Amino acid sequence: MKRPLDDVLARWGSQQAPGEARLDELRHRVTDALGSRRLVELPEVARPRDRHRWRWALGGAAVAVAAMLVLYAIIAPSRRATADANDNSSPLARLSDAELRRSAALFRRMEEVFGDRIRWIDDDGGDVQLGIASDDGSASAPLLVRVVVLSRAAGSREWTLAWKRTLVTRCEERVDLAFDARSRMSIWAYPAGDGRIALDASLALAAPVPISSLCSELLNANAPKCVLEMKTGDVEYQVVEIVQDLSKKGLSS
Amino acid sequence: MTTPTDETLLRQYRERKQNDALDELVRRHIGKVRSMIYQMVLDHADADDLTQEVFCRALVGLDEFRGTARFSSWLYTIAVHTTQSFLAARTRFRRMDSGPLDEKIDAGAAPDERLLGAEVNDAIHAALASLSPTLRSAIVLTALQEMGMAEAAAISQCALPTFYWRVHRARAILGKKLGGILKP
Repeated sequence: MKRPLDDVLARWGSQQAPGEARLDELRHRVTDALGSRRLVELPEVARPRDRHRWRWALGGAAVAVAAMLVLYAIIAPSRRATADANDNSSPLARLSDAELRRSAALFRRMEEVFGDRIRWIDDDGGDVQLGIASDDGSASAPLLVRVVVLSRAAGSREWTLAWKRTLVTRCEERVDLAFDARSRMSIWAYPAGDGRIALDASLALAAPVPISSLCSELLNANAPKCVLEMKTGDVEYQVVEIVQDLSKKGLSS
Repeated sequence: MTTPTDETLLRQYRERKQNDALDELVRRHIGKVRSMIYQMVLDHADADDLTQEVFCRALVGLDEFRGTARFSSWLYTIAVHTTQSFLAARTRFRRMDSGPLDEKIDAGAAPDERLLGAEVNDAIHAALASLSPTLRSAIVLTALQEMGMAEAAAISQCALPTFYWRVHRARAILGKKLGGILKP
């Protein structure tokens, strides 16, 4: 026998299912779209050589390289580091006491103004963005989340900061940030109860290097963790995540 | 005459370029792929667009499919990741589609004597929309698509303990938000 939640979800699911007519229409749409792709597979006919072919080829190569980088970042779990970033990249990602106090104070000030409606603060990039709900939410603890991209030339020991985003969010609050048309980040954080914080983070960047990562991690407080390593050309990149519960003693007052 | 398996159809398409075989694969899987995507994006127009995209990506990536996994699992993996990428890219202030219920259901949809009321429907819609994309896909794959934990975790490319945790969290959140509906 199904549990009540499964039962009600199953009924909802069956009600949302499209009818035969709509599904048939979609099937034709899909097969038409696939039909246009099939043309690619036909034997090549001789075409006049002209400079546009080079442009297409270069464009195609660029797209292919970008796609490979993105796919590489997504599907190469063997390259994903799971250990804490305890090498010389850590200082660049670690949160200083001053930063933690400043973020906690900023969130408190916003809470005084907006109450529980303040859901998140994006405190990077020159100006502060606020996520304000239209009505009161739950007064859950603020969590600081930082995601950084580090880079270094192959052979070098020194990492440099290539990209950084720091935000304060309430636990279990989904935050979606769009930095430009092709660069976005979504996060969702939740204290696991054992002192660690679960963080779901999705990052898509067009620059400084095309990166697309989707990670679900359990992180220790203020312990940078490298969640993705990649290399493009002669440059190595790391995506590092760090979290801290700002309601902890010493920060909340 | 026996019905050819997905893998047989796939071989017919790859080796002999039989487009009929590909059309049959689409016919077999489009309903499930489309419903899975809708339950994650909660928008019918987006679900149609993404369904098309998923099948196109699956076709383009046929050479990457080695046949060691079931074709359906491979297709659903593409569906989950394409949808999650889409959700991550969706502009932050955009609200989920929650238009009138009668616009969402075709006249041809199967009648169900246990139809949920519009308010209940909207409450479920809102509760699912409040989940993060990873939690939502976890509950969609297990509770709505009725996959086993191991298969759903593999499709999500996620370790089994992490996936269990996601399902547990999603169920806890939905249980809390839908508490009034779930009471007998």
